[in-house]
Amino acid sequence: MEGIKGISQLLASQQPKQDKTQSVDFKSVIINALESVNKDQLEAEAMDTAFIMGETDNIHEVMIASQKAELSLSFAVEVRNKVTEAYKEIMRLQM
Amino acid sequence: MSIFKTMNISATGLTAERLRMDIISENIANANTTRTISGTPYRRKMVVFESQQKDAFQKLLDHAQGNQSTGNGVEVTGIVEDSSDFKRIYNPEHPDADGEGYVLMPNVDVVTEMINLMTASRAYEANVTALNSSKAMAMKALEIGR
Repeated sequence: MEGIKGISQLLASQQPKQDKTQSVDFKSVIINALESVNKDQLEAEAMDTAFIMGETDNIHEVMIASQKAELSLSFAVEVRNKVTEAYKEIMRLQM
Repeated sequence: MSIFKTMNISATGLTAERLRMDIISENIANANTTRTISGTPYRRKMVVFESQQKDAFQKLLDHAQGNQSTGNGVEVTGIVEDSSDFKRIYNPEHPDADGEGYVLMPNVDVVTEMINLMTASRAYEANVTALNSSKAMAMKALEIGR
């Protein structure tokens, strides 16, 4: 019920300005998420390098960093799949 | 992220158990050491674990924000020496024997150390299992709606 109400409100206030700010918000959300995924990847890479160079002997820290990077990447991929799915669904709409 | 918090807590457990393993190895390695810098035989060392709790302010803040307050895992707060008596064994050939032929040996019991070693190794495995489970949970969450 809440969701339907939300959609009707959105339809009632169709202003190009609001659309623009919302698209900017979505973009920044995606960019922030990708940046945090990238940060995890870089961290895992730095840990790998440190381990290979013999600077650290904490094997589990290295493994956990790479697991975190893997998890955040698969989360990002999953979100991307959902977004493209939604986009395709909208493109298939018959006018 | 909260998924990674579980991992961080498990990581503290792994670090702590590894340090405990180091100390046990040192005890076993020095089970027959009769000379140290302080002049006495080697004294058995033990690790002290302490749970990493949030301070009172952080707890109140979490409560005000409606978050459940959890700890941050475990940390090793100190390495203490076992103050029990040294073993006194009769071995007149030993270079550190006293006038009566007795030598003070370290207060390390190898059997106890082996048991501690097994405990540490199993505890390490338990932490790895907890970590893997939290990862499996996260991967399962990604399958929602598939």
